Amino acid sequence: MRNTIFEEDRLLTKAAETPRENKPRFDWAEDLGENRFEIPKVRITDGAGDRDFHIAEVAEVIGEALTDLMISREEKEIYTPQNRELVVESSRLVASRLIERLEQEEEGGAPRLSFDDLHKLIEKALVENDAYDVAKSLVFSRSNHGGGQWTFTN
Amino acid sequence: MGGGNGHLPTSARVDSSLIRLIRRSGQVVPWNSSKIEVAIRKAFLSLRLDSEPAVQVSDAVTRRAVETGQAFINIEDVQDFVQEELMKHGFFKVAESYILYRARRRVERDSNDNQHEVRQDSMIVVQKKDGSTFFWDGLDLKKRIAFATIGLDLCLSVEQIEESLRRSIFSEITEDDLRKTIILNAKTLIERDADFAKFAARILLTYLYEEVLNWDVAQHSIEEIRTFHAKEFKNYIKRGVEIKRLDKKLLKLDFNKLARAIDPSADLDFDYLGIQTLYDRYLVVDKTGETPRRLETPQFFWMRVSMGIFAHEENPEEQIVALYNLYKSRRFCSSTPTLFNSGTPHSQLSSCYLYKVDDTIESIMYRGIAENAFLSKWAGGLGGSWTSVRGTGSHIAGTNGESQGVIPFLKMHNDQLCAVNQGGKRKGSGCAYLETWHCDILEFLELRKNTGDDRRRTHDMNTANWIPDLFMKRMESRENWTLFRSNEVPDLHDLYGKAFEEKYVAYEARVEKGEIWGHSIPAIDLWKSMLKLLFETGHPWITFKDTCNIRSPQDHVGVIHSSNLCTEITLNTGADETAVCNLGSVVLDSHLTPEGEIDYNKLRDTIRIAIRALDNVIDVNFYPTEAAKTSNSRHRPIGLGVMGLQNSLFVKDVSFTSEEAVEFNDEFMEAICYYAYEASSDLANERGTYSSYRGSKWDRGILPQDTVQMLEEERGEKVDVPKTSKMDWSTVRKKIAKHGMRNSNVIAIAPTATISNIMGSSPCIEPTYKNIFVKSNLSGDFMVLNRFLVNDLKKEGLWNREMSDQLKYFDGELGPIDGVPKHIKEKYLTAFDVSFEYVLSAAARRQKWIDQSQSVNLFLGTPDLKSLSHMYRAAWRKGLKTTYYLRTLGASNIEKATVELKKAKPLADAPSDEPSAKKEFTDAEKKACSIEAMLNGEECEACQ
Repeated sequence: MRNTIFEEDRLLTKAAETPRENKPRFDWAEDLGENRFEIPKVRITDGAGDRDFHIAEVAEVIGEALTDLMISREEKEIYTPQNRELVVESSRLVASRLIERLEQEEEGGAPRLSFDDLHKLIEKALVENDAYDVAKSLVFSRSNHGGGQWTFTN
Repeated sequence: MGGGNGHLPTSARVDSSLIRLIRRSGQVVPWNSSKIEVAIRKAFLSLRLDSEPAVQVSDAVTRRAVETGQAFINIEDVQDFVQEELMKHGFFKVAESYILYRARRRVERDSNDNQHEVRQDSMIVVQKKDGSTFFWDGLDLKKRIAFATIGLDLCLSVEQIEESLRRSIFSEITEDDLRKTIILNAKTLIERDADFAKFAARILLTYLYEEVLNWDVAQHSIEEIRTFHAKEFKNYIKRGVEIKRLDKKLLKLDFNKLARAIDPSADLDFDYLGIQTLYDRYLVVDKTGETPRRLETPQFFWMRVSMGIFAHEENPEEQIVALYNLYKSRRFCSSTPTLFNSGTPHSQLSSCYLYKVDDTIESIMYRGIAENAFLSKWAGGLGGSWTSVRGTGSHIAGTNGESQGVIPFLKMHNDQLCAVNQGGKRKGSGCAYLETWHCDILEFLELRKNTGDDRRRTHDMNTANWIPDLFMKRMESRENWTLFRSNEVPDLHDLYGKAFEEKYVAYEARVEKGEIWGHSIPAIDLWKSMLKLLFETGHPWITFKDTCNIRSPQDHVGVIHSSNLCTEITLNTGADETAVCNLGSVVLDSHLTPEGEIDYNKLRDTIRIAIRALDNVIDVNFYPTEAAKTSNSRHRPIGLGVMGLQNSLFVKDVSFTSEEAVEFNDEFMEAICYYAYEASSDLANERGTYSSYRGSKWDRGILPQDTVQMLEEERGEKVDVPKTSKMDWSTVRKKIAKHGMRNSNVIAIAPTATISNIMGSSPCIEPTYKNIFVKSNLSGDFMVLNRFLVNDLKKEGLWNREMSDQLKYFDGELGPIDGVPKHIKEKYLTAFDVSFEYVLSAAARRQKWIDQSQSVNLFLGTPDLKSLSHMYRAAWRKGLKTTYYLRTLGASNIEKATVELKKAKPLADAPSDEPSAKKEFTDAEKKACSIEAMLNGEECEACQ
């Protein structure tokens, strides 16, 4: 089993290191449906300053981590209903955690969140959905993109 | 799949910005907590556990890393910390998984390593000492290169480097020659890129580790260097004591505690010049065997010096480690005698001695000759006053004869310095001072000339003028100056300020009446002679008696009769007191923030330990004479100095010739003096004041900066230095009023050529001499390249082979090189292009705060009498106490006369009777005046 982890990690690293353009891409945010553009008033802080945050981005990030995991396991079917559901569920969980935070914040400006914080929220949501392996894939993806420098892209 | 306790303490973030991580590849990267956190997260998630605790565990690991106090940490150590912290926090399953994971990776790495094949053409037959031979596969060279390239930015690939290091290696080469060739090849790379200085240092280090620690680069890993240090430390001390090279009191210390503190990763910061200097001269050698063997690595060496200074304290280990940490992290360096002798059975740790010879044959022989021989034997530099010795033609009551004056005795002193060398290590060195009214002054000025009666010449001794303010005033107002016989004006040498002026005038009146002998000459003529001889022979230096005395904290218990060999010490001397000073220097460039601001807290921490160490030196020191012991235990003077001004200005991106640089001098010197005086006062609270404290200026509430005004009052003229300050001195004043001072004198800026080489810093307060120069020593020649310049040129995309060649061609001067931006040219001006006004203004700002003096070299590329006069008068007006060497291009480049000079400047204006081009210099003189000699530390090493 120990060796399995090692092997799994190696394959996962390889998948994470593969450039995006060489991997299959799916519209993971599609299933958010009506909620697709439901945006809690959150701003993301990155090196270049603050910007608005879309919940669809979370779905993309989780979807990519899931894609890496599936590639590492040599699964042929990636965009399955089950996986799509996991992405949507986890994204919604992140959204509701953000809304909770928003309520906890003092009234006034929208709360600011760093990429690191957001990653941790996503990781937590995946763990809550029992998707430890996807959470790990996310960590690989994050470390491969230089930790805090990792950017959300659509 | 058990997790942890779930109750983790909230951890405070720690500052890990100073730590660097050594990867397995040898690459050095800044510490990155989030990478560690990510790795730990993976471990948790692999076991289907919530990864939240990774934050606290990674914080704990970072804290552990910071607590080691090391600048560099190996990845393996970090992984050990992760394992331990996981277990400490109760995550045993995760820890187990992590350990197994590491083991698996190690196995995989090893199997990959074994796939490296040795190229057959790299096999060379090497002869061992016993005549046997072996095939050298070069694997050790690969490992040396791997170690030497850790974290460096080099313009060559590892393969290219290996090819360069293999150059000139031939079959049947001896083992010793193989080592020498590889080191030599590494040295030749230095001119290619700034970081090759570190690379070459590390190649030498690998051989040093093998020599001292029995570590073998081929068999053992880089990570094991630390283990070998810890293991061998006790053996080193025991062996050192056994062969009587180390003091047996060191055996009483807790070796385990000390060994734990030893941090060989600090060696990675040495550059070649530093490590070579240590290797050749500072590390203790076991000479009992067939071949001499070094007993010390650099870190053993720092630890030994610290042990010698603190061994006698109660619970000394903590203090020893504190001082050791300053040394290893290049924050402070003791003077050479302390580095040589601390912790050895001959703990003569002092740098300088100051003496006064009285006007009796007994004093001349005992104090001037015999005692100086004892002091010289134990490696101290000598500086002393010969003014009281009566001049030529004076009456000798005992024999009813006429004196031959002071010159023949100075010749004896000169020869004694040659006869008694310093501990068999280097030639004795001394400086004789004569006050300007002494009737032998004109002959004294000529002592270093190469022409004339050789019996009245002192080719090996330095000389200095001890000039009263009255002379400067008379010279400026074009009045006459009277020379006296000192036996007829016996109190004149002990007087200064207004009291001197009154008495001097009274003696002139007696000369008028014919009661005593006197000879009147135009003061300006004497001044011209002083400057002319100073230019021609490099001597006598110019120092100012009244400034030294009026500003002295110890004016209540005596008189300063001279400065010392390097003109930074100003202490009282007398019949029963030979002054002694123990020196050390703060490395200024190690106390700047990355933005170039002074890190005040760090500076204060450094100075407090440094002052305690210097104060300890007084007690553990060996005193060659009673007069030295008496003086030092009464007044406990120390001399904390500073090095690295030029490097600091490079970091700050400020030119030496700027008002900003002058301001910076004011700023850092105020801070150093503030913390040093405070530390001495705090020590007085702990250990008591020095015994002659009562009545001193400190006791009267007068601090050095307050004495500028006193000087103005005595001189009757304004001193040209702003009296502004930036710090709140009331705290220090209160402390001194309450506790007194531990040391009569605290600050003196000595030249630091040799120790600044070791520290990789720039010499004391000097501007850069050259941006590239050839260094010669026992191990051959190699280039020293200004690394700051290389980095700036790299930023501009201008560093390449052609630039390196051009720099060499133009002797390191940027001026004639096309395409170098103006701001870079200004920043990297070399000493002769830095206007003396800036050098003097900076010196004046520092002198404001300093209770002793500073070794201020003055540079004048094309000297003429007018400029020289202007320069030295400015030095006097700005309140400098002393000046040191006058560097001129004529004398400095003399050794190059036989080769084609690319930048020889004309000497048309030289104030000399003889054309300088035809002038012949003795070897010693060439060395004394040459920049190369200065860089090689061939002048006063006592102070360095």
